[in-house]
Amino acid sequence: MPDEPKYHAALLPPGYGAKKAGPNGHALLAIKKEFAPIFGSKLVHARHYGEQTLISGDPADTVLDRNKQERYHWTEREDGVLMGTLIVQTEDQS
Amino acid sequence: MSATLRSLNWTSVTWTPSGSPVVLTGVQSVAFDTGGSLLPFSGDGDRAVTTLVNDFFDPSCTITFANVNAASSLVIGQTGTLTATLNDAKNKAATGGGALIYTLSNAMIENVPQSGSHRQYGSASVSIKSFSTDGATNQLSIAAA
Repeated sequence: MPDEPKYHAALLPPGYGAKKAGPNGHALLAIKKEFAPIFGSKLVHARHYGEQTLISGDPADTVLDRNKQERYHWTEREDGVLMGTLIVQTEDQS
Repeated sequence: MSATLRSLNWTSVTWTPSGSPVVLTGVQSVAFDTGGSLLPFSGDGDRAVTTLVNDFFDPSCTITFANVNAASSLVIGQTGTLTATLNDAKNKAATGGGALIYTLSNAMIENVPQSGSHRQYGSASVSIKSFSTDGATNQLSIAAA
């Protein structure tokens, strides 16, 4: 059984993917290359959260739960990226 | 196999409700709308907007496709997840090739008009909206294949 990943999501500052990819690069591929191994996921889904971008392995993930409480414990890296460790499992969102 | 940074054609356009997924074929267009809106403010003697914020988002999607038979499986008001892949112009949907996978979560079918005319292929479209579970995270996500 693979180890449980330490981080399950991240909040990226504006322009992070474009900066990582370079002028002729593919921002989402650069994000996938960096974060898929960290999350232990095949894909890395990105969506807006205010001016930040939430990335995770599940497209249905949200920053908050239905009660507007944080789902992740955030740890800030030196480059401004917030790394999230899941603290609350959401119920079925269907 | 570097990405061309050019996109061409949609594949794997799929509506997944709680039951069996419905694959839409003969897709001619997919239009995702991030649904952002800005709220301007002005007051007193202002002659221009003095405060402007993004206060709301309401993502949606409209798909036009030729498989009218599949349209009969789409139920107005049904909730599910919509996924669609926008292929890279050269690498198509190959992993790491630059294709984009769109996912609209917490989605709901709004309308499914269908039509046909003499000596023309029949056509259907589906408009889909979505709701947020936390009121803060956009339901429309994009991933690199």
